[in-house]
This record gives sequence, structure tokens and C-alpha cells, in this order.
Amino acid sequence: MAIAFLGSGCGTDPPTLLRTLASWAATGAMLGRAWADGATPRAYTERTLERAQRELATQARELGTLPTAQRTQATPVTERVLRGLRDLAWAVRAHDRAAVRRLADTLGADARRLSSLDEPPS
Amino acid sequence: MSRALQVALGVVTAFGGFLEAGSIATSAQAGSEFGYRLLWVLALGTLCLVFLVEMSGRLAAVSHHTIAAAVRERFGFAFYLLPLVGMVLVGVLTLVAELGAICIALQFATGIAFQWWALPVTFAVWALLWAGNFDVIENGVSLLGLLTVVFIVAALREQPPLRDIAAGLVPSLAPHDGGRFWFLAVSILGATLTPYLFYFYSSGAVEEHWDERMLTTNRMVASVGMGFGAVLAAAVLVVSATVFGPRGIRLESYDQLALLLTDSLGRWGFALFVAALAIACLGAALEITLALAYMVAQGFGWSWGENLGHQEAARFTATYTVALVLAAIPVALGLDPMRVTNVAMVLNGAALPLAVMPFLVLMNDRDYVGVHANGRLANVVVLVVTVLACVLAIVSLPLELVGG
Repeated sequence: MAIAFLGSGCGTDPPTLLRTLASWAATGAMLGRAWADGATPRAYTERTLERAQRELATQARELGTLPTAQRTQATPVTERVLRGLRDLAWAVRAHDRAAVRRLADTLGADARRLSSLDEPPS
Repeated sequence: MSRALQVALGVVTAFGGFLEAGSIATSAQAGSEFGYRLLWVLALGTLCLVFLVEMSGRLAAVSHHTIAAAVRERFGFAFYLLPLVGMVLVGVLTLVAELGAICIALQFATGIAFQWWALPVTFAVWALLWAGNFDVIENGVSLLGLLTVVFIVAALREQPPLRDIAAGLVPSLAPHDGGRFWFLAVSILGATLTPYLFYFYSSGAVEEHWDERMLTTNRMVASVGMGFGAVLAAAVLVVSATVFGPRGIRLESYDQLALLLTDSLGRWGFALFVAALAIACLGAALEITLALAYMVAQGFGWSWGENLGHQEAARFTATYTVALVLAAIPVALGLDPMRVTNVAMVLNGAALPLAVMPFLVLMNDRDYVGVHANGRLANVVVLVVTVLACVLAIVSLPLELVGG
């Protein structure tokens, strides 16, 4: 059982999927701001951004399992987040703190958008 | 050493040695996903831990037996094999988690992938065990572990709502994601009540030749030291709830967790987190490795002791060497340390009855503890929490697998 768990990915039920996507987007945003403030070293920041892209790309493959309405809204946001993480990694490599701050803000907004898709309509 | 100094040192080492990979990871995950709602599980686990640690010290001081030696003597070798096998398997997995966390901390500090640190870190742990004695292992690393007080500083700086924290100490059910909630609950229990801890404690008490005069010291160390130690784990949960919760970050890896202190401590936050993680897990790795060797050597009736020469306790030394090599392999192969930690902590919960039930019988056997046998409260608390942890582990691990 332990081996099965260690080898498995996360579950893919819709709420979990949306929360995971939002979580990695928010991680990218927090990481970007922390790096821009000089609070994290570059090697760690780059490696974690790579991890975030990888996790997000893996989860994005599961978007097809979402109900149509959620999928329609989540797909473009997820694609934007993936691009945002890639751009963020470039900006970190280029030491462009202003661009990193701007991209982090966009990622933060997209993370909130993904989170809101999981909430029941008010 | 004066009695007061003994108590102070014991409390400080219990406090400094409390946090390890399991308690850091599970508390942080609980905080990020459920806010303060799992604080009561931590409090319950700590209450049980205080009883278990006090009991293991009392057994050693009164009977001059370690738990393993007493179980073997009382129930026979064939019976002892079952808890031994269970605890060794879970102990090695827990050791993988600790070594992995040290390697991850080094990855954060240097940028070199954690897998490459598996062998140097394993060798360093082995060398400390080989060259050090029990006092160095227990007191030295635990004193360094006082650095983990940064989590309390960070929690205070975050100014969390005290009313919500108080509400979190009241038992409650899952607000959402029931499977995940109970999985994290049992992970916290498993991390708080790791069986190696009280087996290690009783072995240490015998190594230090405790007798009945140490009973008061033992009670103080168990209650005050472990109680304050739990405040550290609670601080990790609180900081995580205030930093990650509002952002919607679910902690799936140490990469995310490394941001824990950057909000409250700024530029120093990352470095302090890395240092605290490395030191806390180094202390735990040393203790688990020794505990594994203690359990095996005492079970088989070999000569044992960190204070003995290597030739006098050759099989004891060989046991911790083998345990370290086995634990280093999954880390070197790149198994995700956070996932290993989660599984190890749940299995610690599942294995708890194997470690605790025979121990509980001993603590009520007047042939071993004379007039110092357990009271009803200790028996009930330990029994209830042990069964709860085991049932939750057995139910929640498949739920986590199926439900994600």
C-alpha cells in the first residue's frame, strides 16, 4: 500500500484538481515575490519554478475530466499560468525583478480565478 | 550534576529535539489545508506522548529494563518478533524521511539536487554515531535543535487570531475533504507518537543508569519538555495556516514548505527554515538509527550501548550501519521526501498498537514497576489514543489513495 502511494500521483477528482492547479499557481506567485524581495536564492527559486511547471503540466492533462463548464473556464487560465511560470523562470534568470513582480501578481490573480471555479456559484 | 540542572537539561533537550521531518511536514500541511482545525489532534497526541515518555522513563528507572528487553523477557522472544519487525520496518521508513529532509535542506542551501546528498549525509550520521557517545547524540544535537524556536517567533510575528486558535483546540469534524482531514489527523498522531521515541528514551535512561531517584526528573522532562516541544509543532501549523492557507497553497513538497518563514522573517526566513529543518532532522535521524539498533540488539539479547566500545557492541554497531545503508537507498534513488514522510507517519500510527500494547501490560505488572504501576488515567489515555491512531491509519490510507 505504501509503495502504491509513493508511486501514485495525486487524485484527480474535480475539486482536488482545481485546488492543485490553483495551489501551484499561487506557489509560483509567492515564490516570485519572495525572490524579488531578495528572500530566496536563485538556484532554489529556479528549481521550484521548474517543479511548479512540471506539476502543473501533469495536472493540466487531467482537465478533460472536469465537467464542461469548469473545463471551459479552467483551460485558458491553466494555459496562462503555465506560460506565466515559464516567463517567471526566464525573468528570474535575467535578474529582472520588476518583471518578476508583475508576473507574480498575474499568477496570483490566476490562482484566485482557479480557486473560485471550485466554489459553488453565489 | 545537580538535580535542577538535570531537569533543565532534560527539558531543554526534549524541547530542542521535538521537531523532525514528520512533525514539521504534517503540521504545515494541516495548517495550509484546514487552518487551525487540527490543533486538537496535536494536543491529544502530545498528551498521550507525555504519558508514554513518562512511562518509558519510569520503567527504566524502576526495573532497570528497557522496553524492548522487558517485553522480550515478559512475553518471550517469539512474541517480541512481531512488534520488532513492525517497528523496524516503520522505523527504517521514518529514517528515510529524516535523511531525505536533511538532503532537501542541503539542496535548498546549495542548489545541488537532494539525491546527491544521500551518501554524504548518511556517512555524516554514521560518523557521528561511530565517534560520539550518548550524551553528544542526545544533548548536543538537541541543544542545536533549539534553533527551531524560530517557528514560535514566526508564529508570534504573524499575529494569528487567538480565538480561532482556541477554537482549533476543541475537537471537531472535517469542514470539507473528510478523507484528507483524517489522513492528516493520523499523520499528526503518527508524527507525535513515533514508537522509536519512547523506545529510545527508555534505552537512554538505562544507558545513563537511572534509578528511582530520577522519577521526578523523568516526570518533569516528559511533561514540560514534551509539552513545550508540542508548542513548536503547533507554531509550524499556525504559521502555515496564516501564510499558505489564505493563498490557497496545498503543501505537496518541501519546495513549497521552504517559503514558510519568508513572510514573517523576510530575508532571514529562508535560511533559518533550511537550518532548522536540517538540524531537527539530523537529531531525529541520529535518534531513530540508535533506536533501531537498540530494539534489535535488546531483542536478540546482544551487547548494546552507544557508550560501549565498537568491539564490545559489534553487532549493535553493525545494526545501525545496516539501517543507515538501507535508508539511504530510496533517498539516493530520488523518492520524494515529502511523500515518504506522509506514508511513514501514517504507518507509525498503524504500528502504534504493536509498540504500545505490550508496553502497557508491563506498566501494570508489579513484577516490573512495583508500586509505580500505571494509574487508570494513563492507561485509558494511552489505550484510547493508540486504538484511535491505528483505526484512523487503517481507514484513511486507502481513502487517501482512492480519493486523492
